[in-house]
Amino acid sequence: MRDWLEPLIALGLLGAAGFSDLVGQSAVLWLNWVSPRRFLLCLAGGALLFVASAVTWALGLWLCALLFHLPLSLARSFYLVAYAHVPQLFGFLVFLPHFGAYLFHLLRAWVFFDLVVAVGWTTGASLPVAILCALPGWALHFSLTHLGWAWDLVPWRRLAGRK
Amino acid sequence: MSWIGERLWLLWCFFWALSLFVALGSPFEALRWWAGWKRPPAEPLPPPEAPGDGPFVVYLTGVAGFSGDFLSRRERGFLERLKARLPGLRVVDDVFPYSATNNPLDGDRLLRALWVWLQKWRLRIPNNVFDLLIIMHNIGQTLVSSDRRYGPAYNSGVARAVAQRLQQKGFQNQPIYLVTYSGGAQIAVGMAPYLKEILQSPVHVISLGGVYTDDPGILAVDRVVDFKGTRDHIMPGVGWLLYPGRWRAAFFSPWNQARRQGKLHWHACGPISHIGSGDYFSAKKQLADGTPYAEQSANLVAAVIERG
Repeated sequence: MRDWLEPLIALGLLGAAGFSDLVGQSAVLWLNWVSPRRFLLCLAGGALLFVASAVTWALGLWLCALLFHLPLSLARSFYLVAYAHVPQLFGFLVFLPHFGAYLFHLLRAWVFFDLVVAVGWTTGASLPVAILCALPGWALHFSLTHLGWAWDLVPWRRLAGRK
Repeated sequence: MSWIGERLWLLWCFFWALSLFVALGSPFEALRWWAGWKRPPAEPLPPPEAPGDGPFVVYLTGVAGFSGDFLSRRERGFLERLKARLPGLRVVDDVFPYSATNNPLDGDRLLRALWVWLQKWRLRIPNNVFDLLIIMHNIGQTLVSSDRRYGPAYNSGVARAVAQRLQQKGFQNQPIYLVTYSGGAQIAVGMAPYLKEILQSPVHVISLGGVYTDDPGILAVDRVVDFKGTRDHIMPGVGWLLYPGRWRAAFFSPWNQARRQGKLHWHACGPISHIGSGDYFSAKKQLADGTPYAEQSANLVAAVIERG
């Protein structure tokens, strides 16, 4: 594969996964009375934040791998994190009523275990070590890309009086 | 795979793809209204009626509903029987519970022509494949109502429409009886907290074969009375199956809290099925003592309302 193609594919994959994830969680934007223009801006901005957050995860993974003396370069860490996000392409399904709420957690867990398996496979690390390497970055990534905090901003008090 | 097997497989895949498409689209109506992207349709209201003593009943139909104005002949018959038993009864039966804005399927919608076409064929050939899309749409709205993310917006919209109709019927803060069939039960429970907040009145839910989820609105309902036929196995069980908050193990769920508070009451009402010729509104099928099913349903609901 050409040298420039792999990072491009990884970035594209992360961007698409981030956009899909944001579409799935977009209910919170509607409920906060966001205008159509700002809605689209939020989706685009959110996808960029998602990529940045995944890069942070890759960085965390690389640092942990260094700590455990695992043969893992920074670039390879980034690719592993990016490819682990393939299930997240279905993140838009989180928009589904009722089932979406469960799917959100299922996809997050799936991405995490994807990375654990990939780290174990690539570096020959044992399962506990692979989990320890993947966990800190994942926790940060999960917190940064979960829009749960935005629910507190929804003007619920006006529910009964909404015209 | 045989030729028939391949076609059946394709049909099966098409069914699930269609279900997914309908389900994904179902939150849009409530969200667009809530976000202010779409104004609710302006509807001419009839002049308000003189204030009355009631009782006040709101009828919410099942997931086969098409609009507030359209109720099946059997359901109309049931409501007529109910009115005959309760002098002074005022019934709100023109709210379409499967829309946050009380917008019927033949109202101001993008796919209006499709819904009207389906309804036309449904009336010509009852209980056929044309029902499927309408039922799918309404199940999608029931899921929206029960979802913790979309539910507050959706249910407040329905509550607003119901409150408006009740006030137009001469409502004066008497207890409200939400008489529901099938999926209408979830909508009733979902909107109960908002209806209570708007009208400041006790809210009772009476259901015939009600499909209940683990909606936290159940805590705002003063009493739930569910009548269930002994042949009505599947539909009421769907709520239990899909919503873990209904399970006994979910000790602190709103459903189990309401159960412990003694708000929930179940009664078996004979060999009645959920749909078909032997359902709760059947005037032809009779119990062993000769009472038609519809007659019995009206008697049971009237008795609950009379007891207050």
